[in-house]
Amino acid sequence: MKNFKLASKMFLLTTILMVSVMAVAYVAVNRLATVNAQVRHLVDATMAKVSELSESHVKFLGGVRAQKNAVLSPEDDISKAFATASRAFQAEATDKAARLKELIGRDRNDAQSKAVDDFIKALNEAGRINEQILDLAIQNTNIKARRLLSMDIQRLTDVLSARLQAWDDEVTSKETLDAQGVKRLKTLYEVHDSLMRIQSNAIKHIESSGDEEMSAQEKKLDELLEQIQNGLAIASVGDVVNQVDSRAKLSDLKLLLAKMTKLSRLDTNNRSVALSLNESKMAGDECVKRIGELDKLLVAEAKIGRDQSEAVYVSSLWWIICVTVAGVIFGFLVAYLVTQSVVKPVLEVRNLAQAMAGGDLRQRISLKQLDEVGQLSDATNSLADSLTKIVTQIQQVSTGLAGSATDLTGVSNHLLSQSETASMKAANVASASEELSSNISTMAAAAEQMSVNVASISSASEEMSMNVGTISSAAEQTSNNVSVVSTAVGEISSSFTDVLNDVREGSRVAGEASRMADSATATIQLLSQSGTEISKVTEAIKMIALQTNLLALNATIEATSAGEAGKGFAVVAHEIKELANQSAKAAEDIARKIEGVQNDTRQAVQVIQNVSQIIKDINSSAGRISLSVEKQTRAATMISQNVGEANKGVGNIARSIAEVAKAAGDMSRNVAEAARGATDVSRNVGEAAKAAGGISSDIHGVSTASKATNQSASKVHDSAERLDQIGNELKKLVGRFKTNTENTDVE
Amino acid sequence: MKENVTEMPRLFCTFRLEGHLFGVDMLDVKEVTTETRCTRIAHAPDEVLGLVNIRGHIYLTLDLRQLLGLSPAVVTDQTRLVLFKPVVGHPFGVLVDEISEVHAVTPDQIEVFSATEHSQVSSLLRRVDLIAAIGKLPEELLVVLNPRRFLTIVEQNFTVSA
Repeated sequence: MKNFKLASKMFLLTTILMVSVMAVAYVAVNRLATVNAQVRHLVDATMAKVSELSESHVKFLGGVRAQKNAVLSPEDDISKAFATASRAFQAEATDKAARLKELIGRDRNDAQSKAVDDFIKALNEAGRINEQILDLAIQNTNIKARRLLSMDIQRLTDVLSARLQAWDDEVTSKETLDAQGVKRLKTLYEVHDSLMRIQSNAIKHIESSGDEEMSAQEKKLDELLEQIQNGLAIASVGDVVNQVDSRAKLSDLKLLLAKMTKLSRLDTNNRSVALSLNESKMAGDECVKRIGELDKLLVAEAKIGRDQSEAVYVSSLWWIICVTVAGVIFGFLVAYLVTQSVVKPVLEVRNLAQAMAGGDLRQRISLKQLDEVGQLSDATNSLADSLTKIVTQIQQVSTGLAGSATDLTGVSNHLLSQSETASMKAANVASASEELSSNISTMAAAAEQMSVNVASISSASEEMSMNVGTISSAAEQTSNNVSVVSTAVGEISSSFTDVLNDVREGSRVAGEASRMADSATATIQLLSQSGTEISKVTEAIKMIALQTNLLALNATIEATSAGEAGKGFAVVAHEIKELANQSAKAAEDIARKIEGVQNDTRQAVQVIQNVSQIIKDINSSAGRISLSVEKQTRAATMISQNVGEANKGVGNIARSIAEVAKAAGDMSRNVAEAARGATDVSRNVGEAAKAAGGISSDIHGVSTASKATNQSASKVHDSAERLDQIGNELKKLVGRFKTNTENTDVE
Repeated sequence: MKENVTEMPRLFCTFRLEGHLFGVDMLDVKEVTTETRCTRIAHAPDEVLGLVNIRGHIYLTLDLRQLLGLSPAVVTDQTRLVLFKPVVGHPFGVLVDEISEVHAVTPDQIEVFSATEHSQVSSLLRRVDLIAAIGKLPEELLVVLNPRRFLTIVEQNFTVSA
């Protein structure tokens, strides 16, 4: 059932409906056939019986009527015709009765059989009597007799009467009546009267049917003829010709009367009438009674048949109603089942589509049917599969995106920490350079002091040189001055040592600064490398966004192909596309920012390289300072030695002014050298101070650059976090689609 | 009811060729892929770039630029292959310079580009009937192409050149 196509189902349904309709039709036809059989039985058997009976009745009555007609008709031909008709009717009635018997015999109805037997018996009896009547009726003797009477006998009596009249006239014409004449006249009258009475007696004879009566009438007629014969002999006196003729006539009359009486004796008409009125009537009544009985039986049978047909009609009606109701119920049942089998899967498909619209892609329809609905469910399943595939791809992509974003966040964190380190280191450098600057300032102050001291040495030596002439007078003063010089020189020497220490310190600090600058460079290189990595990541994100965009486009195309069902997914695809565009934009933003960071980084590297260069310059300057200071220290030591010598020589000033002069000259030269050296120192220190200032400002630049880097890194971090957020949002959005792959991932 | 029908926007999958916006009916498009590696077919006309395998299905790839009388296509990162549904004809796709977005265009923005109005020049410009309609977008014009004519044009060209 499940695997039938819809058409097959419909065909099945239609077939079942047709079968039920055919069942109804069959039952209806069957029942109608029963009703028909009943009615046919009623019509064919009962009605046939009734019709046979009534026909028999009619024929019988026709026969009786024809018989009466035959009896009544005076003409032989007509009578015969009626008799033939009556016989034919009788035969037909018998025939019908025989057929009725045959019909009843077929039904095996005892009462009817008996009744019909009685009827046939009665009919045969009536037929027999009818035969008799007809046999008599054909003869028509009375009528013949009457005709004989009214024609031949009448003619003869008329002739005789005329002869008697003539004789009468003959008698009366005679003027006189004699006795003979009177007697003759009297005889004539008597003869005439007899002649007249013959007619009436003959009629009476004909009319009478009894034997005695007839004999009486015959006797009377014989008497009358005798009288006439006797009277005629008297009457015909004198008329011989007529007498003979009259006698001949009279004998003719006698013959005719004999013939008539013979005919009348037969008396068929009256007998037939009597038979017709008595036996035939009785037989007829018997027949009619039998017919009435049969009719009653047949009416009873018809009534039974009617009741039966009514019962059959009612039962047929119930059958038809029951089968119709059963067929309708069965049809409804099958229709309900078929509808269920069609509607349920369709509902499942609709549920699936709704679930898909709601984002649940895990659901599948497991309809094991091969019909159109099954195909639809398969197609929906495959739609869900393809959506699941797409969504899974998107999920993978979004997972990749989230991973990349996490990577990016990690990298940006790394970058941030590195830039913080760089910043810290730059701050360290700045503090170191400040320290360097302060050291150099200290060194500058020391150098200035040294310069002042040298100047004072110079002035002192100049003064000494100037006062050499007055040395003698101012030997003590000289001694004092020399002591002053000696202490000054010691101070210078100690100052130089300080300067040397400071310079060494400076050199060490510069070295440290250089190392830090290198470290900063390395860090910034790392930063640059991270930027490149971020670039790669953003490229990957861009690629992912591009693919997501394409997937979203294809998803839109698929959704559009799906029509109304894909509308919800089209919206989701649009959202995914928007997200992909945002991802691409964010990635581009990050790339741009990374580019800025890299630019800043390059600038920082440049600055740090500058700083490094400057520090190297400072280092070399400090080296040169160190060299000069060493030279000065050496010079100062020499000055010290010279001053010592001078101090020693002061005692011997007198001994050798020239020596003093020479020593003063030396001193002067040395002081000049020292002054030159001090100036060198001062210049170098100034240079160093300038360089330190430069360093300081550069370091400041580095610090701002690293701050900018830090800021950029923070922005990168923010972007990465936003990207991460977008990735998560994308994941969440995609996560709305529950797919089976997700489950397996969870597991 | 009729108003609703006329108000229903048509969806077009749009793309760019030499910077100009072209489009085909969204319902004709099966898929857009990045696959651009084609296997050349011997003796094929210039417009036919070759065959491409998309997940086991073989599609004929046409150079839409050459179909429209532009210079031959150069494959870049932006190049996309637009595949059409089987209802359009024998499975095939066209290379486009760059895929644009899906445009929904209302019918009152679409002007049918009838080739019969240009019957006297159609013999000269056989490719004119590639254009089905012009979509008047607010920013620019969208040339709506009839992908069902693509293969026919290639066949015509091939028979003419043969």
